[in-house]
Amino acid sequence: MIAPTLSQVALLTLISVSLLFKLAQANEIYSGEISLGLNHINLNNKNSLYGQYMGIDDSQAYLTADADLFWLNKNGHRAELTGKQLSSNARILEFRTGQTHRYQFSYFHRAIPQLDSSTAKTPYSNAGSRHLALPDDFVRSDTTPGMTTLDRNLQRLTLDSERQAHQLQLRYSLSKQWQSNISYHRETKKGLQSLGGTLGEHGGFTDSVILPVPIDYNEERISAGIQYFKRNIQFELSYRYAEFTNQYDSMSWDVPFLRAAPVAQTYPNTAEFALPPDNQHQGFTVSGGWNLNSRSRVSLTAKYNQMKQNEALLPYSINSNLITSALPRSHAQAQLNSRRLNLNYTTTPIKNAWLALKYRYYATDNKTPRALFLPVTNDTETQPGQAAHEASYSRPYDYSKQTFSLDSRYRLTRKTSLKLGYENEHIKRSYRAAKSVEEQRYYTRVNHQTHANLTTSLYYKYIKSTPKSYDDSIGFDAKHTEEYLETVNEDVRFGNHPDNRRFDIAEHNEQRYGGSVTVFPYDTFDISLYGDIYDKTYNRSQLGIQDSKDLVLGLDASFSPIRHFALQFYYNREHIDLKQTGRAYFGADAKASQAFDPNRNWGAHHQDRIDTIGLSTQLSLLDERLELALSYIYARSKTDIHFNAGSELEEPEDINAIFDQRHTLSFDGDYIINEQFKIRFGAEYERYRSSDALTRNIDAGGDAIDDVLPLSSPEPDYHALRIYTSLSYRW
Amino acid sequence: MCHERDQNMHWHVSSHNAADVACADCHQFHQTKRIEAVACANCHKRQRAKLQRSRHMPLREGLMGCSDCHNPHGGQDNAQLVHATTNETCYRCHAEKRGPLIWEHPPVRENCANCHDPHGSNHGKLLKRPPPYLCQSCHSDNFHPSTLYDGNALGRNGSRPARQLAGKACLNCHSMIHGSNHPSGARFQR
Repeated sequence: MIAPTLSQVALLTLISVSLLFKLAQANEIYSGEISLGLNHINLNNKNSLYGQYMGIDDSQAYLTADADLFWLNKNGHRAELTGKQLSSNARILEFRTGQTHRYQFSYFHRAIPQLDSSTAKTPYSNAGSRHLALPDDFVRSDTTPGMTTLDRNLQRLTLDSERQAHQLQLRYSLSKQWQSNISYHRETKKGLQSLGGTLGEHGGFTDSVILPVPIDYNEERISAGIQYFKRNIQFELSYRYAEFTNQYDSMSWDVPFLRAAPVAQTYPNTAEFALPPDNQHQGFTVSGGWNLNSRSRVSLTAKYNQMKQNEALLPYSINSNLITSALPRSHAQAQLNSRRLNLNYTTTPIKNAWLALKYRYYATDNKTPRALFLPVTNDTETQPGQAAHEASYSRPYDYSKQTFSLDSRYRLTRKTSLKLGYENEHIKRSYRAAKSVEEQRYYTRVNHQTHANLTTSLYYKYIKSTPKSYDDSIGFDAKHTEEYLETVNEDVRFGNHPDNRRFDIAEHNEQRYGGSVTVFPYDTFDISLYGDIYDKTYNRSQLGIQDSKDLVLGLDASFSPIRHFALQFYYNREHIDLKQTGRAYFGADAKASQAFDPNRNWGAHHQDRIDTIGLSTQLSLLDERLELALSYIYARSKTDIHFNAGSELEEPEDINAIFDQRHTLSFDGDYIINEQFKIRFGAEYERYRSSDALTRNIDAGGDAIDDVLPLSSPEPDYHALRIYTSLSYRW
Repeated sequence: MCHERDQNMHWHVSSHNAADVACADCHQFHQTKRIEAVACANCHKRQRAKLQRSRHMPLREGLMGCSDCHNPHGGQDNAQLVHATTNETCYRCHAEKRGPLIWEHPPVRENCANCHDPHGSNHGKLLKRPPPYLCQSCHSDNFHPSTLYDGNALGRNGSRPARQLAGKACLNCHSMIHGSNHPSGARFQR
């Protein structure tokens, strides 16, 4: 974890003093507030969840510094500085200066730490390196329990990262109508993440070790644009270039497993995978709007993007003895272009009516060469021939979307408005089972003020998505070689089960409906009830997702009986029910019989129940010199999975999968000592507990799973108390 | 004229204009500070609740705002995104996912929101459902992709947990699920 640095405080102070000096001379409008504070966090358990985005995983004290400065002179010159938590790992700093209607220069900085695990342990001694080495005395084995030296080889580490962004921007008015801008943005992300490294054959006989993998990303972006604006016409032309670099293009590691029992073949000593390659992106955008008359406007956005990466390809395997054929090319030569066109027309054809016609087009054009690769499976198997199942053509993916929509709104009476809309979307995809899908969407909403103190709103949306045809062999045939396909019998010539429908392209109907009622019985009190149902049915999916229903019910209320007191409350309950089915088939020879045996069907019913409660109150005392606020958040979720299975499968057992619950109670006070000084003080107590059946009993570096060496344990439950105080000076 | 330029150029066709949202519904005039987390939550109550889930982006910590991804004054698609698609919006911070790559996973290339809920989730990595069930929504191939992973596969009856269910589940092995640039990465294991 990166310790809070005093350099940010020093930087802030320097800028602030400089600005103050300038202000004192200028003797114009200026105001500002600077705060210095002290926080103390007491955590009962070291964990990565409480301070996930603060970069704090253990009890500690730290300084904070906030700033809010503003200056304006009579010539329109201005400067603003806003800083939040400047001395901590998570901070934001914004500085803007310029002259009204002439130019503006701005600087923006944001740092976001992210803790992923505080429990990680690994036998590798050099986490963060390009090659992870096992200790000399490490005992390799077929399974994790056989790694007898594992316990003494384990080393603790923290999986975290920090993202830092800096942006400089200049906006300059060339004339009354023309304005230009140019900006430079640099973003870095450094740290450690976890990724699984796999050994062995596909499917049944693999082993995996979860590895600490270094993150060292850098992205630089420049953009420039020019804008023209008059009362009736505006347009903008912009260009953007971004270059992403990753310090690590690959990662190799010593293999802790010997072989996947019962396979006799032993694993190599070293394995390797590729990490995200360097890439480049550029894009042109033209955007404009034209007011045809006082009632109508047309606007458009046209965008052309190009994404490229040309990383040198790694060898098929780090173990050269397994390679018998050359790569089809030495570099990736990957390029994906995309085009976006939005055309809009809006009008108010008659009084109280509004109408919008929209056409939207988006398409990708993947220029990456398609080629046949002969993959060495997981650095383990000898390279296959062209007639093997593993021989695979790459499938540079493309898709396009065309959407026409009509949106309208009409005020039927002074108290009632009606909204009607229709959308038609046509999607084309390459290499996928549904080459062409048409989606129709109809929607309506009515808002009505039933009474002076009562408003209601109801809506309904219907979506129907229909693929022209569904044939999963399109992708299968495109992946495999003709030599391989000739060896496969017609009845089992599929990868994915032909009765399965992949949910993002499957035929489905969806209905969304709901509404809200808001009552204002008194000026000081309002209450609102709302509810939504999203109900989706996949009509032709014999296997895959069958249906999903998402129900949300909620209540919002606010009460402000006197000027110096306010109370807000909300409750939100969400039920998510999703049903999916599958068919278990297992074996090269048994595929034909088992794949079409409905007695091998299984079903899973996922039930999520999620409650969220928020309560906050504010009180002002002592002629508004003392402001007190109290808030409470309760968030609870529970996911259960219920199973059923056909007669050919074992009796299934349900999983009470995931539970988590958080209470956060906070108290905040501001006391104004005099016109210049203010004290802030407060405390926040948070209690969190969770349980996840899928990771329960999985210990970092432990042997709970025979063929996976985990890197992390589940994060522990915690309770945390943060107390803080700060002193503000304002002028 | 002042309010038909820059990010407001397409206000007329925005879903907020379609819903008859007025400027004063979100903005307090002459108050320059960003109030978006509060302003957006006034109407988007479903998202307000999601932000409180255990897996979330750093909005409630104040390090991000809704407008980092959405343009409430008129974005380029129905969700009022600041870029042309969901993915192009995500790539702004997650440039390492941009590629393009030798081995593409089509639903990933097309829409990150097929698997992730950016507003918050109770499942790791903002996933909509935990693997392997999320993966099995689409994959029903011979051997382990079609196998039922119920409570028995957690190793409750003396057996050991199945690697396809426990820990990172499918991602124990298929760790490059966003796509791979390795010549042997056709199954997203390299």
